[in-house]
Order: sequence, then structure tokens, then C-alpha cells
Amino acid sequence: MIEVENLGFTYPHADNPTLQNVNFAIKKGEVFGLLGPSGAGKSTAQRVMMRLLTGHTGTVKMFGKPIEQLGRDLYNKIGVSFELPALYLRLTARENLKLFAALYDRPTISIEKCLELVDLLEDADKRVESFSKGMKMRLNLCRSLLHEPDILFFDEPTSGQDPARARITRDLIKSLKAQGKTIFLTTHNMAEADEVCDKIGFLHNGTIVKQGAPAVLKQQFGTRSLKVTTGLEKMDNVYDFPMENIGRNQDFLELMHNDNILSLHTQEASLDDVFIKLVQN
Amino acid sequence: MLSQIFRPSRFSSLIVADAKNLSRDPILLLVMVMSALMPVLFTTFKADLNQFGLQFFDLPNLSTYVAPIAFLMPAYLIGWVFGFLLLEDRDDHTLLAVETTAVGKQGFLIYRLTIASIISAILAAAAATYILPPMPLYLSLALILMVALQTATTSLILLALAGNKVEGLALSKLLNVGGLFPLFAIIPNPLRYIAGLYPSYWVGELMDLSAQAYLPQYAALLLAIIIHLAWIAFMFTKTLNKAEQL
Repeated sequence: MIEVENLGFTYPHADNPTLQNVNFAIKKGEVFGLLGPSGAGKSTAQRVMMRLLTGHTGTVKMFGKPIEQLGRDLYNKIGVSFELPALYLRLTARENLKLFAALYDRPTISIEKCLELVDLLEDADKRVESFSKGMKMRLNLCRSLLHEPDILFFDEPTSGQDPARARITRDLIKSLKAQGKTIFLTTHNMAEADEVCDKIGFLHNGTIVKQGAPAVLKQQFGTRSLKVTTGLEKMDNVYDFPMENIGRNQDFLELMHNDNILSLHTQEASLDDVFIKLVQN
Repeated sequence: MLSQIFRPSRFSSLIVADAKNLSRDPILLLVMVMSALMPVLFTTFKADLNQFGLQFFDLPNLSTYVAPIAFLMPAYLIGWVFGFLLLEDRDDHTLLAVETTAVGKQGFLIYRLTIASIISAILAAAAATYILPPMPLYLSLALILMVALQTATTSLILLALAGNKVEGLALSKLLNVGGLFPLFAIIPNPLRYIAGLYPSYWVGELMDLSAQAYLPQYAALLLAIIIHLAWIAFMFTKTLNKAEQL
């Protein structure tokens, strides 16, 4: 669905490129997360892919064609939710969606249904200027879904949202994936990427330093061991067992017969650990 | 592309949204109302203006010189309102969001400039009977067209030269000076055509503010239209280049 090869981009008058030699591919129905700290070039990559920035090197293909060959019809097939709210503040949520629905050339879903997806139906007739940042972000997301696009670009989709609303957004992303939508997500929230992405790429100094499935990367950068903590009243001891032949490890088996176990944890790395290791390297 | 933008359902949805947006901002709304009131004010105070001119400047027909400024007023006021709305779109990133739709920022810009020009043209047509001196119909229509084109130019100047709404407010003061350019047409010297590099001048020229004409009317008309269109083309390109930096 999306193929990016040797993508490079330098802003006019900048000394160094913001993106260089970026490569990745996203299949239909996949969620790809581009991770990295602020200023790593995530939003730039997204803007190049959406043709909002021109003058890149390398190729970006969508729907099997280089993006330069796709006319404005491209925007009927993609939905975009920016990092910052991009809304008419004096209009209500419903009026905003009506206006944007008029700007597409394909049928749009009902505004009520769309607002319900992001838990804003009750606020449909309130002016956006009275919304919190989290509500504006959800309305942004809602706008990107109006015309039922095949590919979705989400830039920090849970930014400014409380944990409960962020959960709704993450569930929405999962449900869109289940419907076969292809999603390109940029975030610096590693836990979020871990939860919703099929594949992730770590962007550092303008290039993807590592990519793969979150589970695989966590295994790769962690240790294959199991940490057992004992002590129900107060923590007694912490044991570390290698995963190799753990079923035949007498010390481990003996400990498993103990009623005093507080917790068992495999020692794969978190995505934060992976990122820190990659950056340090 | 134009047929895409001017599809009736799309065009009407955009007009409804813009009307609501405008009606909820007291200042923008007030400016819109003021632009419609101009012919009423001009007609009401025409005699007083002439009296004032006679008393203080020994001018028996001051209203003749105020007429082109009053006639052009919708171009400056409506042009400012729609230019300001577009600046707001750029500041609030809605223009960026529009760029990711089938219409795009270029299409949206064309829509906004068209609707602003249409409103101005309607107001100018309504005011023509009260403000314009007796003249052939084709000349009245040409002057109405110039008001419409000047409206688009005003919006575009704001967008092309102002970086944000605050700069837009400062720039609008300078823009208002442009509304006085028709008065250069009073000067009985061909050097007055230097002022013709700015489109507003030509309304004064075509309203025969000076008894002395150095160009035949058809040439003045042609030049006026060319200069208006050249400004629009230049400012439109400049605006799009600026919008690249969204």
C-alpha cells in the first residue's frame, strides 16, 4: 500500500538533511508507527508522504504509484489528522465536519456516526472554541475518517488526551485496522506504539535506525530470562533464571512450588529501552 | 478544477459555513454591514459634503471626489474581511487541513476570492445608481468589475504580505491608503499615470475626475483591466508560495 525507498528531504536554507535514506513498506491493513523524539523528522516524513512538502529525493509510492503521479484524487483516498488541531473555532463540531465533508469527492459517513466514534456526539453542537485540546484532537481525528479513506495518517493522535480518552482513540485505531485500513502513525509514545502497531521504525537523526514488529524488537534487545520475586508480605528475594531449558532448571522448579511468589516477569526490553540503546549506539 | 469548486452543493456548503463563521465575529460582521451602508451614507450626506467643500476649500462639488472612494469602499472592506478569514485559516492550520482534501488550498483560495468579489460586485452594483455620475452602462459595468477585482487584490495583498493576523491588521492600515489612489486622477498632468500602477487609481480615471484626459477611454479601460489582473496573478502566486511553508 505504501512503499518508501531512499527518502531524503532537506528544508530550504538548511545545512543538514532532515530525512536521509529512509526505507520502509506498509502492507494493506497494517499499522506502521514511526517513532522518535521531537524534532527527529517524523512529521516531515509524514508531510512528504502527503505531498505537503515538495523537493524530496528517493521514491514514495502509494496505491502502487509514485505520489507525484497521483492527482488530487489522492486526498479522497487518504485521511489526515495533524498533531495540532486544525479546526474552525467559531463553528460547532457538526458545522466543521459538514464543511470538510463538502471538500471531498466521495460519499461521507454520517456526521453523528463519525462523532460517536470519538465520543463527541454529545458535544456536536458546541462551538469548537469551547473545546479542550483533547476534544479538538478527537475532532481532528474524526474529520480524517469522514470520507472513509483507505490510508490514514495520524500524527500524535492521543496528544493532549486523558488516559480514558486515549484508550478510546487506541481502540478506534485497532478497529480501523480490523476494517482493513492502512495506518501510518507518528508518535513519541512508545507504549502506545507497542499496543497498536504491527510494525515500528525508530527515526533518529533523520534515518530509520531499526524497524520491525514491536515484540521481535523487544526480544532482540532484551535478555532471555525470567525474573521471579518472592515475598507476599514484603519483598524477600529476586531470582533471575535464563529461559534456556527453564523447564528443567531444578532451582526454578523448586521455587515454583513455593507459595511465596509475588511476581514473574520475562525480561524483554521495553520499546523505550530499545530506543535508548539504539540512540546510544 | 473550477467546475469541481463551483459544484452547487459544495459552493453552497462553503457559503453557509462562511456566513456562520462571519456572523459569529462581531468585528467582521460590523465591517460587512459598513460596506453595505456606504451608498446610504453617501446619498444622505452628499449635500452636506458639497456644502463643506464650498465653505472650507472653495470647492462646489467635493462629493465628486469622494464618490470614487465611496464606490471602492466595498472592495477594501470585503477584501479585508475575506483576506483576514484566510489569514486566520493559515494561523489556525485549517488551510493545511483543506490542502489534504480534494479541493486543496488553491481551490479553496479561488472559492474565497470569488465569493468576496461577488459580494463586492453586488454591493457596487447596488451603490452605482447613488454614487456614480451619469455614464454609459458599459462603463458602469466596467467600474463594478474593477471593484470586484480590487476586492480579490485586497485579500491577496493581505495574504501574500502578512505573516499572521497581527501583521495583517497592521498591513490593513497601509492598504486603506490605496483606497485614496483614485484621487491622483485629479492631477492635470500625464505623470498621474504613475499612480496607475496601483489598480485603484483607474476608478478615478474612468470616473473622469479630471477634465483633462491623456488616454482615450478604451485604452484606459484596457489598461485598467490588465493592471488589475496582473496584480491578482502576481499576488496569487506569491500567496501560494507562502502557503507552501504551511
